[in-house]
Amino acid sequence: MAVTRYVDFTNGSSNNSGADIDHAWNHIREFTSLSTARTVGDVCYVRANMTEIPGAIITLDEAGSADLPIQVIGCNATQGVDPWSDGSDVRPIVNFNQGSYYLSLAKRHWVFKNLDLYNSNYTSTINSVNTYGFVELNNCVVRDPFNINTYGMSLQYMSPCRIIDCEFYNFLYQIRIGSGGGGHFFERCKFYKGANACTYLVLLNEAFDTRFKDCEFGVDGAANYCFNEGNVSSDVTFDNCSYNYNTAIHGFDALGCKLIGHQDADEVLDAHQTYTYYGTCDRVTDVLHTGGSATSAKLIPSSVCSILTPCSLTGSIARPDFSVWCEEDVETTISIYVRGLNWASYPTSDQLFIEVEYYDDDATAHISTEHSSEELVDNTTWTALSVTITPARVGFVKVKLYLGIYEDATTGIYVDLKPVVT
Amino acid sequence: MANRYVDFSTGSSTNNGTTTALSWKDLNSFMTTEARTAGDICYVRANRTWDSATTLIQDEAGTGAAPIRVIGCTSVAPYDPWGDASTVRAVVDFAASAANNFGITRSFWSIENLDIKDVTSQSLIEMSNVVAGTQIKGCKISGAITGYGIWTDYNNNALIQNCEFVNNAIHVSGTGCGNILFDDCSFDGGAIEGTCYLGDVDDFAHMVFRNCSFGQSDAQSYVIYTANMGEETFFINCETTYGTAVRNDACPTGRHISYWQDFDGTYGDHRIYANWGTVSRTSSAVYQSDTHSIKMMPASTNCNVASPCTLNMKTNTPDYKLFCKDGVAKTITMYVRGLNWATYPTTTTLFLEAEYYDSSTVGTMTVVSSTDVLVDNTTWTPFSVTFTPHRDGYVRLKLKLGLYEDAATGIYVKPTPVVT
Repeated sequence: MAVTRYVDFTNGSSNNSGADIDHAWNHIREFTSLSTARTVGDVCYVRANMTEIPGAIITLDEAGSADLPIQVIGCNATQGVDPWSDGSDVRPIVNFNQGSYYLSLAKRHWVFKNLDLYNSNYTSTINSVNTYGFVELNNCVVRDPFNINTYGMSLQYMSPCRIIDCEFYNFLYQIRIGSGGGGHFFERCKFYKGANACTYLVLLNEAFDTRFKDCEFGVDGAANYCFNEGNVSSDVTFDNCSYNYNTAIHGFDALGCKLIGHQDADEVLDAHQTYTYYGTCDRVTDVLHTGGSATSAKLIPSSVCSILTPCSLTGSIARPDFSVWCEEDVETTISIYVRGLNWASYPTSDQLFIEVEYYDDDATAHISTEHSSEELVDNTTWTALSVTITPARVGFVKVKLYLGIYEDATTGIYVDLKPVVT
Repeated sequence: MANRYVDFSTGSSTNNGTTTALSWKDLNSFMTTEARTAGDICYVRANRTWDSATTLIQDEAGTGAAPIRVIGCTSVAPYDPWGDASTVRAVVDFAASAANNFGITRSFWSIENLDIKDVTSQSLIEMSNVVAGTQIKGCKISGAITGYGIWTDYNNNALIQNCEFVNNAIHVSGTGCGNILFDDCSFDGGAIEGTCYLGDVDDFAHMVFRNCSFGQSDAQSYVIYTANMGEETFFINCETTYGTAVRNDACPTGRHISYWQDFDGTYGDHRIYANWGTVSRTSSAVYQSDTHSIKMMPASTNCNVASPCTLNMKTNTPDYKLFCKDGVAKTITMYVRGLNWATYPTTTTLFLEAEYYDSSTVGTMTVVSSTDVLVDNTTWTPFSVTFTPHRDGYVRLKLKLGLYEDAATGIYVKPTPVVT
């Protein structure tokens, strides 16, 4: 049976039961770990506009459930959460008082709402714990550590967490996502560089399937770096986010597969971009193939691009750029139209081609690949890169476009996103 | 670019390696003693064996356009400069060394047609940090009896092609890697029966196994074992003999997803495995004229609304993206049928979610969810959302099942959204 408990940092007591506002506890820890075991659905209301100095790590002893998380909610009259009738919406403050204390996410399915956490001297003010997760952080402020060379929130080896309407500032990294886990979702969060001019806003270190939506990076001025790309990451997407930084990405080097996608980048409608270590892919509408798609892709390889480390539309060897349904035993030609951009020496057919992967045997599921052989001859003509196949099975044929040469930072190709199948 | 020659039997480290008659005796002379430039090639005489007493490393990098190649000779010109007509691979034998192995320490090296064998060190081939563009082709990689055939550590864009992995405790493992293609490789045997995994991934992204076979003669416990996460490993037409295809349980928070196209070489048998559920293509439940549906099964209590089963099993990537026009009301429907539920999912544990542009001037998006529920395990039930986008653009569509009842319980889905 779920219960409701109350914490008043100023007037409460650890000797109380916490069962009503007149018998409130004075520490969140009484709810999270010290007094009685928690059950799923338990709720703790923390009085607004009060400050706690916990003097210890705030840890979690029991797990909630997906349907019934255990919640710690700072009172907020505007939200209608005001059991003390204070009329305040000032978040209760957890002051870690320069100690090596922090909020430890040591169990699953907890919600923390309307809290203000600061002044920790630990590595992370909110710290992940291996194999846990499913935590929601809602409308919280995480700020001003005693040691600025730390993380505001660390998510390592954690199941998907939701961070909604939160603010982070004055850490070396406001957020660290990495080393196992993934599936995290950040919505309407703000990342400040803060008075100490943090070096990085977000560390992406093996951050998979993570999405930032409607977030602001560098709210109060340009951070040195928006992101530090540590090791392997993929499918980190930023939708309708705004940015303010001196350098976008630091450490974006040859460490595994890295895919960062931006939809409506910097809040510019239709400014869709994909970043990989080997190049960028932007949506453009100013260079179009007549009769083709209403938008083109603009691929600009980076200086480390080569045919063994190519630039492609998806940035992944595993994902086709296009999937085309083909019938069995029907000769089919698939063409992707491309146009050069600023080449002095045009890529050869070994440096720019499409690769088609198709079923080649009607008795097995074996697949083969074929490459196109056409080459660009100028920077103005839309050129068809074509492959003709006769699949032995009905099914999807995978098409990938590879660009494996770098000339300079202004050189690349436009791609018509509408395959032509005949 | 220079050609060099190595004969493990009759060569000498005092030679200059420039001709077959002046061949070196060891690979170190090529890899480290003499400075390399992009495009250099080392021919290694066939049917010779070298007991390497050192760890092999490289001093210089090749380039993507001109890798540095170490080629074991064959009977086919130009790969038979000695005229041996031998098809027996040259052997690099570490003689059960606990300290030495074949390191790949620089980018853009290609190791071809060698028989690399026998270590008791952690790995037989070790691909090091910040290395890219490694190619290993036509090699036999065997006898890492207590460790890894290949350990790949924070590197990317490697091609492992036509290689045989035999009798390694774990054939492939590593951490922090991505975009590695295993093409036409075989993985067989293992020294530690029952605990020997055929492909071990740990923090890998976008690994692809294409036309590979696992355990042709020696069934092992698992094809793939995910210690941490390693999101997205793709198996395309891979044949398997195993106890369990995927073991995902070692890390409850692991976000690994393995995609199997033509599972076990069976045409049309497509599957997705994660530690929170499975998705498979099935013909056992037919919606109208569609002969194939998708079966989505929560695999464990790790499935919940925060980590739902979806058609692609990802949490944040849409199942479908549908282009919708500004100001035009749309209803999108997906048809769902229950499977073995005792208590049916609610609207908050099984629903269709659409995310669409809600403003004509900014890029914000609103999420709308279906309110339909299953009422039995036999009826195909429409799950619908209706909305009016405020600008042209793609609508992100996800069907989410966030409830576990037991291992036999799930849903069937008609895989095609209906748009009206």
